[in-house]
Amino acid sequence: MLALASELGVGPVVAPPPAPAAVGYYSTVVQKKIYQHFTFTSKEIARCAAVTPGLTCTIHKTASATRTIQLDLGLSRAAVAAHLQISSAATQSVSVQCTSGKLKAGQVLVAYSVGTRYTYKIERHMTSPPYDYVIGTSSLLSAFDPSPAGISCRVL
Amino acid sequence: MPRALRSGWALALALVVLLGCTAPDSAPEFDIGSFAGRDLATATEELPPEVIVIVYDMSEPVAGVEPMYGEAEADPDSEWIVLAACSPTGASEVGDQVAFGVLNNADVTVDVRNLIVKHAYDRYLGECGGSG
Repeated sequence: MLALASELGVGPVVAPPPAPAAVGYYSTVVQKKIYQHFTFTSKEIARCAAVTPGLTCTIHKTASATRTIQLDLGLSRAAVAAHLQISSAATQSVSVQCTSGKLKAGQVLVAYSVGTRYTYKIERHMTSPPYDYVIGTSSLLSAFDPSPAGISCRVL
Repeated sequence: MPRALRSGWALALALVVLLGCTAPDSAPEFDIGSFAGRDLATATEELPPEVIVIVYDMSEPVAGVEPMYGEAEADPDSEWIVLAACSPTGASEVGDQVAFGVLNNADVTVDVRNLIVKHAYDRYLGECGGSG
C-alpha cells in the first residue's frame, strides 16, 4: 500500500516548516503625568507697566468657552438645557481678570496663560508575536493645553 | 472715441464701482483716541471680544483718592470714565490689546473733562508714550 502510494506520488504527509513571524513596530505614550492649573510663564498674554506711581492695573481677557451638555434617550439639547435652567448655546463668553495692588513706578503686572501641562515619554516597540521589545525611549517630553478662561498674574 | 478705448473706460469704471461697493472683510477698526471721555462700559462694548483690555486706575495720581477699580466692591464699568486710551503697539487702531486709563465718574470734574479733550492724561500711561 505504501509502495502504491509512493508510486502515485502522494507520499507521507509532512507538516510545512512554520512561516517566519511578521515583525511590526508601534509607538506609545508612557509615564504620563498631568499638572492641572499650571501657569505657563513663557506664554505671556499681556503686561502693563506703571510709568506713574500709584496706578493700579487690571488685565481683562474674554474667552469663548464650550458648554457641554450630554444627551440621552432622545431628549434634545434645548430641552435638557431648559430643565437645567442654563443656556443651550454651545459656547459662552467668559471674562477673567486680575488686578494689581498699587504699583510703584517701573513695576510690571504680567498675565500668563493657565492650563494643563502634561509630561510623558514616547516608547518605540518592535513586535514579533508573541514577543514585544522596547527598542527606543524618548527623553521626557511635555505638552500644554491652555485653558481659554485661564489667566494668572504676577507683579515683577 | 474708438470703440476699444470706450470699452476700456467702461471696464475701469465698473471696477471702480465694484471696489467702492465691496464690504471690507476685516474687523472694523476703531480710532482708539475716540474712546477718551466715554465710560468704560460703552468703550469696551464696541471692542471685538478677543481684544485684551488693560485698565489703569488713575485715581491716585489724578484725583488723590484711593484706587478702587477691579476691587470686589468697586462701581460697575459704566461709572468709570476713560481719561486716556492707547494701544500697547502705539498704533492708532485697536489691535489685540487696548489700554485704558480710568477715573471714577464721581471724581471727574469739568477741569478733568477739559484735560481729556487735550489728551493731557496720555502722559500717565506707557502705552500712550507717557513717561510719568
